Amino acid sequence: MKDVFYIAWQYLVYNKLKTIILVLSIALIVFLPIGLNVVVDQSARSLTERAATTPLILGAKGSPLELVLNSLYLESDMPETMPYRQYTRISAYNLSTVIPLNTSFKASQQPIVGTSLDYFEFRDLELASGRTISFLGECVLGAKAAEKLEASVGGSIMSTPANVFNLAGIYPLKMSVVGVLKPTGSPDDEAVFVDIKTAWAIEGLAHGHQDLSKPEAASGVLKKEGNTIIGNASVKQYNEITPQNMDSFHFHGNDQDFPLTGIIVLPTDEKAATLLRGKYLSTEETVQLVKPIDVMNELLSTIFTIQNYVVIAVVLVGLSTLATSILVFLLSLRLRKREILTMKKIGGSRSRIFAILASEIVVVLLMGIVVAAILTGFVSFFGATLINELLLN
Amino acid sequence: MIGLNDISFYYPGKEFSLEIPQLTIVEGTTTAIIGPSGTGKTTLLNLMAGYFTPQEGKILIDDTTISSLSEKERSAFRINTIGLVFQEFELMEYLNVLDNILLPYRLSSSLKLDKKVVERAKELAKKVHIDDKLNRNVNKLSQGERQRVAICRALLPEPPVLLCDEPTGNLDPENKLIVLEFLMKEVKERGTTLVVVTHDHQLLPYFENVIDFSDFKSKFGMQKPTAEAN
Amino acid sequence: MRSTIKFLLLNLVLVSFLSACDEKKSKPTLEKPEIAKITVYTVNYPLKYFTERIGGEFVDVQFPAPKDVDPAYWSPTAEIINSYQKADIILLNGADYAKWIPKVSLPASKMVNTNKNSEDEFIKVEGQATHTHGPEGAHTHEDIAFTTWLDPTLAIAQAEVILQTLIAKTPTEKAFFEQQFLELKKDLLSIDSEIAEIISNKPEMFVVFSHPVYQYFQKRYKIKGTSVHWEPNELPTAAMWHDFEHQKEHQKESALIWEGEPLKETVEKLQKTGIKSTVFSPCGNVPEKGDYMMVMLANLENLQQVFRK
Repeated sequence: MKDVFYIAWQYLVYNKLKTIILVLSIALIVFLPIGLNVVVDQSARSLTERAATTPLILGAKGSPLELVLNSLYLESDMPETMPYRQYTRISAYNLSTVIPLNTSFKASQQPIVGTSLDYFEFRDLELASGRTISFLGECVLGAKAAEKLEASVGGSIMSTPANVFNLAGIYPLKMSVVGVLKPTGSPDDEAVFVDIKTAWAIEGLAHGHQDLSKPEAASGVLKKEGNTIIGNASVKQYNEITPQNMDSFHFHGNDQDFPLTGIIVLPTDEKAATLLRGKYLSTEETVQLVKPIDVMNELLSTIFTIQNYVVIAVVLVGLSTLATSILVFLLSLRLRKREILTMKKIGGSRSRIFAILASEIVVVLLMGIVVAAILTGFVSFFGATLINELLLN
Repeated sequence: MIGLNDISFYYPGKEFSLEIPQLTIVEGTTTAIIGPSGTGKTTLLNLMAGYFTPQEGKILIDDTTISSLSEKERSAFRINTIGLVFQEFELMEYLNVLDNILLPYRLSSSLKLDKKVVERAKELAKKVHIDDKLNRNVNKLSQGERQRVAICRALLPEPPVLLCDEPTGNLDPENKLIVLEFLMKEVKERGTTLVVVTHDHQLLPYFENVIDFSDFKSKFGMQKPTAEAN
Repeated sequence: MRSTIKFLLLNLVLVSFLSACDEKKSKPTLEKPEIAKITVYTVNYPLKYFTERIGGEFVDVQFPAPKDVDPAYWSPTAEIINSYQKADIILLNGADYAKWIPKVSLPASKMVNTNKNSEDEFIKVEGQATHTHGPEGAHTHEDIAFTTWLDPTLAIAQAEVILQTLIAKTPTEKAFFEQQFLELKKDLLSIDSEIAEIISNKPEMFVVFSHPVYQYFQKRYKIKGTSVHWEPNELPTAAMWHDFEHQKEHQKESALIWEGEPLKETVEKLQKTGIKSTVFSPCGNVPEKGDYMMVMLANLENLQQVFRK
């Protein structure tokens, strides 16, 4: 057998190009349906894992998928918002722990997630360096966000204005980086985490400026009417919250009207979950309470349907590729007629000659399978991430 | 000893036929078969090698009637007993020099490839001055070097019979001589029975016997050749 | 009334003595298993006191503000905020008491507003200078009076929220917590009735409070009066005196209640104008000596001096 494989191998090595093409063809035939299955399976698992660990999400009425994608995967350019009073309302039921979310803004391409410290405990996020958020204006970066923004503990980043051309709109806020999280392999790695109040500050619902009652701010005073001081347009507003100016920061308006893009709801038990869902069934509700796993399963069922069609197509292509490979092999046998004849004439047995030719096929098949296995391993490692980004983008 | 008795051979569907009433080649002798193309010289060689079987008659190699053996038995017999050298060398392009020489040992389980065989192969290569090219691919060799590799391949199993079809046909005069002298030297040393088909009359003096196919026409059963060993 | 105060004092001493004895008597031969304590952080001293009274050995209560700062205006460091973040429970006073709370990040699930059931009772106060700027117009920074515990009934309501919070955290000790709460409630009600009795001696007394931190106290006991901004350790300026005169004009009898021990000079000058002054400590921070009840008892004694018939 050793001699048989030796001759077969020498032939394959000598005809490198043909061998490589055949190996790759076999590899693709084998890999495509398996790889696709692995990738889709992994993507489904990773998508549903995050959804499965998030019992309920409350959000503005609209597309449940958009709500889930925005709240779980931090993907959505212009998320719908609901007022903070919805947070107060659901908290008051005392049936769950609730975590507010505001994902309306970005720092460059990284989503800014305004939330509470409960989010870190819920998602089991650990610090790689620094500390957690203590003050307004501070932020903690996900591992990838820190890389992409080239920021670290002690540094700072800027929020991106919602509309560059809207000069009277939301100004960028400079935020101090106080911590960087360990990588989790989840969308949290891409996030810039701030306190929910900081997100509202970015929105312009809070600001800090010079104290108009102080002499040094005199140039900013338009006029005084009794106890009311009216400022002019030159009042200097701070674009950064520091220990020195923090006391000057104040919110305007009723905080119950302040916007949230979602609320993660962690019911105390199944009964509480059912009770909560019952409270939001009315058609007159302006908010919706969704179960993320149900939403994702619906999305995935669509994907699986598409996958089945793709697999059928791939199998058909695979069969035709296999037929072509067989044809190539048969044609090459024809071209090797003289070589086979010589072997026969020398005294090579039929079975031995057949074994040599068969070994060539076996080696090519094995190499193809090995390459397919390597490709499958590769996609099982990276594929889920790529597909998730593709799906979610 | 090679013996052919009452041989009648034809290619099915073709007009050509070869009829040999009786031909004996004595063991250890050198015989040249000459004649014009198409007279059946190569066919005769194929019959002697057991590659073809005659429709009638017997072919003996020593005590073995190879014409009665099955194809499998003939292949096994051939690889152990008969060395073959072809005009076009018929080397495996994808094997190097050493692997080409060792080829018979890889084509049959009746020949065992071991270190001794490899050593013998290297010695053979040394004799024909190609021992420094053992790892080279045969397509990088000259015509003469390729034919020397072919001869080494044929001689390695130490066959008692060596059949060569125009072994110098594609060689230049210098290489022709080198190859022929090596061939003669080896067969003499080993006592191998040598049968060479050739067009080249200049080579005839090297042989003990000559069978001239131009003395008879093998078509349509006309005059038949006879040859006897000295 | 005096006898009641004495009774309370005796009660306090007796309770402390008995619990000490009890500790000695009940010291077992075997080691008690260590109880896992609930870590509670508060934003002022009264909440700390209430929690310790109710929680007993089941709580470890921390209030890390320095003793010399007003907790309402204290700004903790990042390190201290981190300690709050790690607590099991964070007790807030509500009524915008701790100004630092809106500026920091604390886990909402651990935060408890002890005044969540009393928001209807909040007293709005005139803000300081409001300001307007930009297109959205004026924003009024309406303030809320935050020393809610100075109304003992609101203090009891706060204590009840603390009770419910501790029970939710450690349901197995419900009976103990309830027992402790009832005792605290009894003490606070006793203080309440004592103050009411003292004030009732002179219902027409016009009281000027040294700082606007007595709104709930004033409302509870229907005290006629107003507030100024006099620091106990500073001499009032001429303008301040003038303003003060203006405040108490046309009043038959007036008194000044200080939040801390005033300068002797100021007291003498007040006496010359016929104004009695005394200290009623809001006890927002940890007292130099004693505890919350002891400070309240001392406050009762001081009130007694001014409202005596």
